[in-house]
Amino acid sequence: MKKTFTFIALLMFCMALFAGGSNEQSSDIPASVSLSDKSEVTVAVTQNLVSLDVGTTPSGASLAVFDMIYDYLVDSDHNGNLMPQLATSWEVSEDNLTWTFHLREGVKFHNGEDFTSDDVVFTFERMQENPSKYPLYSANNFSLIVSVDAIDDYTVTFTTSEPFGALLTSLSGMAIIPADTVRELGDAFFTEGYCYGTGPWKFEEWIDGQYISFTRNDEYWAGQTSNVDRLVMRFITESSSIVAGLISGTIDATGRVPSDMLSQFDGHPEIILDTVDTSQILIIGLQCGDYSPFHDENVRKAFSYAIDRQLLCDAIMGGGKASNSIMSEGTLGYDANVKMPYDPELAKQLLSESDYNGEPITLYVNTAVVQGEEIMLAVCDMVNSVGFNCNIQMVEQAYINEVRVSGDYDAYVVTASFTGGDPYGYLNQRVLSDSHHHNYADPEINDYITLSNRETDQTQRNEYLKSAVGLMSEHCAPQIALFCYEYNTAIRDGVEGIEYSPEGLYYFDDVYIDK
Amino acid sequence: MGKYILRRLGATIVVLFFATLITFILIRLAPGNPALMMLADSATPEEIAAMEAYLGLDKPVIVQYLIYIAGIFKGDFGTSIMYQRPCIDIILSRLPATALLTFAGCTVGLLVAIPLGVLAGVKQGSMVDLSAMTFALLGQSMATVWLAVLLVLIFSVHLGWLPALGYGTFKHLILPAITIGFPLASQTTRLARSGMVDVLKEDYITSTYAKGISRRQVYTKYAFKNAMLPVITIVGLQIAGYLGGAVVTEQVFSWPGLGALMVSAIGNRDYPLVQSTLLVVAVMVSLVNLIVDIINCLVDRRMTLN
Amino acid sequence: MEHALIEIKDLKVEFKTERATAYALNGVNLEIKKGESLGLVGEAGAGKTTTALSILNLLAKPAAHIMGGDVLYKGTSVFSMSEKKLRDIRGKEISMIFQNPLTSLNPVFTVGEQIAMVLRTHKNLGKKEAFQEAGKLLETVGIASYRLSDYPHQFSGGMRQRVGIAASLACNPELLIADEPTTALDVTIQAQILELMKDLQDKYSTSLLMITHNLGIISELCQKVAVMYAGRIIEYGTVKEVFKYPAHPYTKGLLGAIPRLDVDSDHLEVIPGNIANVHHLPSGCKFHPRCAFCKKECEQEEPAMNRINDNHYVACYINEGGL
Repeated sequence: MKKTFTFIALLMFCMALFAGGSNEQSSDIPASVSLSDKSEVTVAVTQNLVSLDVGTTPSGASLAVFDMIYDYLVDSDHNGNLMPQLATSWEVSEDNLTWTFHLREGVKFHNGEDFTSDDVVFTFERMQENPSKYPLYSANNFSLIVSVDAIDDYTVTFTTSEPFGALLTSLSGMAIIPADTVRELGDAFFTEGYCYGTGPWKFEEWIDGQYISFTRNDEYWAGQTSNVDRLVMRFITESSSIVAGLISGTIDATGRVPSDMLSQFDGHPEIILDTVDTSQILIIGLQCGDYSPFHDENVRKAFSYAIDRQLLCDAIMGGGKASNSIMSEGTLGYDANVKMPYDPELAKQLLSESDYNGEPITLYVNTAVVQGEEIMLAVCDMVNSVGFNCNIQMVEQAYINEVRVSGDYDAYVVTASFTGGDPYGYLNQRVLSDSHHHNYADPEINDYITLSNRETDQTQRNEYLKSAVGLMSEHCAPQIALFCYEYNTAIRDGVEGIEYSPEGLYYFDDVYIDK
Repeated sequence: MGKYILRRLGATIVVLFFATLITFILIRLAPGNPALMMLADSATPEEIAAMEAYLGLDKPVIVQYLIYIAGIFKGDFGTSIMYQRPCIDIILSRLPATALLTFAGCTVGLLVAIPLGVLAGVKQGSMVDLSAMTFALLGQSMATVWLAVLLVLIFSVHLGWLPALGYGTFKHLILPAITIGFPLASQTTRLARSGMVDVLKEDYITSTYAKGISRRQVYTKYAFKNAMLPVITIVGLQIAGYLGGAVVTEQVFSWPGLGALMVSAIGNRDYPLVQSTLLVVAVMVSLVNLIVDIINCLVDRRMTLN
Repeated sequence: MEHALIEIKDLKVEFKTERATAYALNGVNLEIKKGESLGLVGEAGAGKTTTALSILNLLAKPAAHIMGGDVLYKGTSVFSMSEKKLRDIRGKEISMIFQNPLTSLNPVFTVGEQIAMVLRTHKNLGKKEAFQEAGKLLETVGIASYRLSDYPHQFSGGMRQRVGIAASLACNPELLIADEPTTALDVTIQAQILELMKDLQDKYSTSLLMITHNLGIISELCQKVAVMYAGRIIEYGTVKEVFKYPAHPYTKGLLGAIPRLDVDSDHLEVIPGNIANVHHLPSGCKFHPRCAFCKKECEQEEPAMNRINDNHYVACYINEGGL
């Protein structure tokens, strides 16, 4: 009996050590309930941050984080407009292949080092040496950049292999890192927690799966107006937890409250609710190969016209905007004159005239789509009532990825957004290159896309984009858009400066407390 | 005892080998692959192929497995594709949270269940017994997520006594521990109760009373030890289960444990991380099982380690 | 007049469950004097163990109900004693050896602990001293003291029974109740145990209630004998008297059923029929359905205990007033 006791006691002791040890390493996060005596803000993001490396796969969490710590050559307002940040001005050569950027002088990294052209060159070349290791390279189309050269300490040139109209948008996602330190430390710069940049906030600490925290950079080159000493960004996947956190005071702001949870805030006037229009759309990608019912344009049109997009917004989403094309107001390529009617009678007619004979059609719906099942069940109802035989299957992201590589699908349903409000990436990969194997190639659309790629004059480029996008809506291929999401934000009264971009992402670098 | 432990370790290694092999195969059978998950969904086929080569996925599966196993023997558990850091670092950083939650939850559960179960067994048919059984029924019928959200609603949102989520202080631990402890407590209460009821009927208890031993001593010592025998095994199994990660609890409370890690690793098809996390969990489960078996033999000397 | 050590007066005990009631004891009358050894004989199910447990007030609640009568220990009713008083008596003044050695020891405690617990409780010994004493007690029953830290499953049935005996003698009880102590053991072990008990009787003059269905043991160990049937004592007296001149047909049957080496016989005498069903007891004399000498009155009314002589009493209409 004695031996048993000793054994169990030892076991418990070991576990207690574990517990004690772990308690020591994670810091106490005080709840910022009363803002009058605290100068700390805690926000919730629904995605988990996995890496501090600026070359990692862009995600909602990573974009928000890098925005705090780093700066970019150009800053995007997420509506397609680009402003100078670390680059004060730029020109393009006559052959449209060389871009020259003039860099801002007097900018310092958080450790006091000067920002120079070397940092820009290094940031790029690091990815170029090992593109597979840095998914940002692929995500922002950096393969089109042949080389980056430092002309002098404050001048850099980017040479592209072909005219690259969206270079500025791509560069607005490339955070500039300190060359000397990263050369020396390598990946440890990120994994060991140095990660400093030139941005308005300094990195404090990151506990995987929990939160990342920042402290204010009072030496920010553009001047610092925030009065918040510390910002904590918590990663919380469960919506009900976020709501509970807001009400109980652990969290001060969040950007994605499901509409059915808004009523939880009744009786809590200290939480201010608002809505944000985004350009994030729900698209249905249609398989246009010979073997598919959607090969026939009339079938596609019947499908699209049978859907009452406005009803989906009103009845299910409690907000949002019905789409006439893949782009939305405020983004490049948007044209209010494009028509996408809701006409079930016409749909029925078009369908009956086609060769479609009631073959079953399966729509793969990504489980990550907010209220995806609800929406698509309604859509099925709508299209089935004009003669389709559709059903849905909820699948995870990895599954969608795989079927899009093989082309083995009738249709898939996902959300899409446009970095910087620019459809460059979308049009090139999903339409021109058909990386998702829709088997749809319209020479007219492709021509417009190519023209827009090469056009460096932004106004003319927009015209080409409008044409391409408009034709997509006309032919209902290769994807049709249903609506743009509207997000519900919940912010504690007094916390200001949180920006919600039309991409559906939110940025905290301008946060301040209004007491 | 030493020989037995060695034999068990040998058997464990075989089990672990099969566990890794099965995981290896299963995760690769799932649609999608890490290269697709890492790249933005606008990547070109060349970029995908390059990424696959970079991740070593272009090699035949058997070769990939052998490379992985060889790595394990060298102490290299692979590099997480998502995190771009050694898997073992990530797992070890999450392990304390899971261990703490398991330990706290089981402690809470047992502290409630054992006295309650014993009391219910002793006072069979009384109000105490009825309440205990109702409590046990509730616990076993409640869905974890429902209980978790309910606790948050009451103690965090309405009363404001405890934080709704997070990790780091004792206050953060209370609600998640209760969420874990409650179903465990229900099961254990029933076991302790029935164990007690059965034992009290035994001849040796009558003979103990005939020696003039008090009821209290019988309930807390001489019948107690016997009644707890089935409890030990069941609780051991539960602990092993929770060490694998209490996913729902972790998600609701934003508890940075292994469960949430495993789920996101699987969703992202992070092969090395899935494999390594499973291996670590399997090791822990084996260890717990071994400890339970040893404890069982120490407590009940009739059982031998064969 | 001094009270006998134990007086059982017209004890009636029923076991009530949801389904049925078992009439275990139907008016038991017994007496054990100081220093006396009484054998209690009867078939399985007669009520012997119930009688023994009621002396210690250890009948299983909630099923057991005392429907009438009393058990007096040194003149005080055990049913009116406080829990504390009872605990003081149990294991110290009155000890019990249980029938099945395989189930009467706790499997997860050492035998040393199971003897020491008695010493710690009653003699207030510390842990170490209690174990030392326990070791000595084991030696007296013929088990090496180094086996104190062994567990019951490491002993044979006979040795386990000896452990039980050691525990029961730890505090030198005034009365030792032995409930079929050798029934589960083979003959050679039986002999050993009996030797042991005789030894102890001689040394300490402990009163003994020896419960058994083995008449041979009674003739070896006991001065008095009581024959029990269907929860009643139907014959009582000194061993010499009762065994030589059995008065009750049942007792005759029991004695007749013993095979004898000195008599040439092809068959054993058997008592026809089965033991009375405790749920549905016959009217009148409980034995009458099996009795060859059954008369009308036997069926109607229960016979009272009749005195044959000072050393012999019987409850039977056939043998009133003696042979």
